[in-house]
Amino acid sequence: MEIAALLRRIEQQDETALAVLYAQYGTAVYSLVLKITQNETLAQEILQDTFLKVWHKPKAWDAAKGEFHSWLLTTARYTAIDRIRQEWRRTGKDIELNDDVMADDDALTPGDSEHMQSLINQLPDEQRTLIELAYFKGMKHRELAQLLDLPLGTVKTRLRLGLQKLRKSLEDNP
Amino acid sequence: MKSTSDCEQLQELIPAYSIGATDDDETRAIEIGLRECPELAAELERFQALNRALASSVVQVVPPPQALASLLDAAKTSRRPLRRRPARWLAAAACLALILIANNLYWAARINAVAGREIPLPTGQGGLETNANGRLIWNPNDGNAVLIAADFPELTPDAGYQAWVQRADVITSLGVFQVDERGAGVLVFSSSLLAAPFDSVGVTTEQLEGSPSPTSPPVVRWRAF
Repeated sequence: MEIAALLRRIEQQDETALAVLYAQYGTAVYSLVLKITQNETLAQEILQDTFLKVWHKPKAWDAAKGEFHSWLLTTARYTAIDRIRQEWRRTGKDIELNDDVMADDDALTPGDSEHMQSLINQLPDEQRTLIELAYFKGMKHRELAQLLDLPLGTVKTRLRLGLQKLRKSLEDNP
Repeated sequence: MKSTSDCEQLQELIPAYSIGATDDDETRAIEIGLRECPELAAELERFQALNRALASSVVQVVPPPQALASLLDAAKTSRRPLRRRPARWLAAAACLALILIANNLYWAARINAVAGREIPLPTGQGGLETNANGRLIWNPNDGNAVLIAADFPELTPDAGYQAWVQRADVITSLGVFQVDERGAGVLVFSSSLLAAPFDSVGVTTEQLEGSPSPTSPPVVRWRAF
């Protein structure tokens, strides 16, 4: 069913429409927030929060600004990043550089994710690490420089080059 | 108005900006620049595809089935009031409604059981040893229907749960689903299968690929009468 029609039904508080939306996007949202939080309980809470945002404000998505799928994943990503930052502040725990959930036993066949991951893996380690920390942990230039004990200019250059290379690889290997 | 060199400098920050990695002062500068340097917006658009690809680069993991039930419960308890436009005929309509309500209450109670969008699926004969229960929700007009199972017994790997709808002597499959180790599962199917009035809905234990007709007592079952 067309996304606009589903959102119109959600506006009328049709729970079936919410369930259908969840059936379509729940796995993508959960996978992303699980990767970010590396915590199943937290990931489930964020999954619910993300869909409740749609339930409460179905008009928040603006079709003129991009696809619903991208908007929903961006919403989920920033919700997850906010939550892990709260956790870091609360516990005083620093980020762990090597944590990852890619080897989860419950993982489905990777499909598209495998293709993108292979492109990421082709990058030099120092660029790949910066991209993963920036994207999946929400870290910014200065935070990255501090965490990795690198000059700020180096971080900016490496991150820029890595993202440019990745975009080029994606365009050449869609 | 920003100079060409200003715009070029900002353009170098667009990759990091596209994934939210710029510091606050850089973010502010880019957001001003986006209004003044047309090439920045074009560059940002090119990086949006990368942003989408990164979001999809993670290995896909199915959320636990009870997550949907929790979401629907939370949605139900946080319903917002639907906006109504004030109208001059509101008072008259309210009076009419009061008269009609008395007449309709009886029929509404009867009709909601079948024409409503949600019915409970209490424990059936095949689930007496368990607390198995479920919910079936659908839109009567179009779209999908969703069956949510809770506390179902875990099955062997070669078995699955199959949902059925019964009309007189005709029993139609709604689909096969699995439950997780907590007994939670979800089945999504076309609501057109529930369009015509039906007598009962149930879930039985069947072989993994499903059966042509039920071969075991229902784990959960809803009956019209």
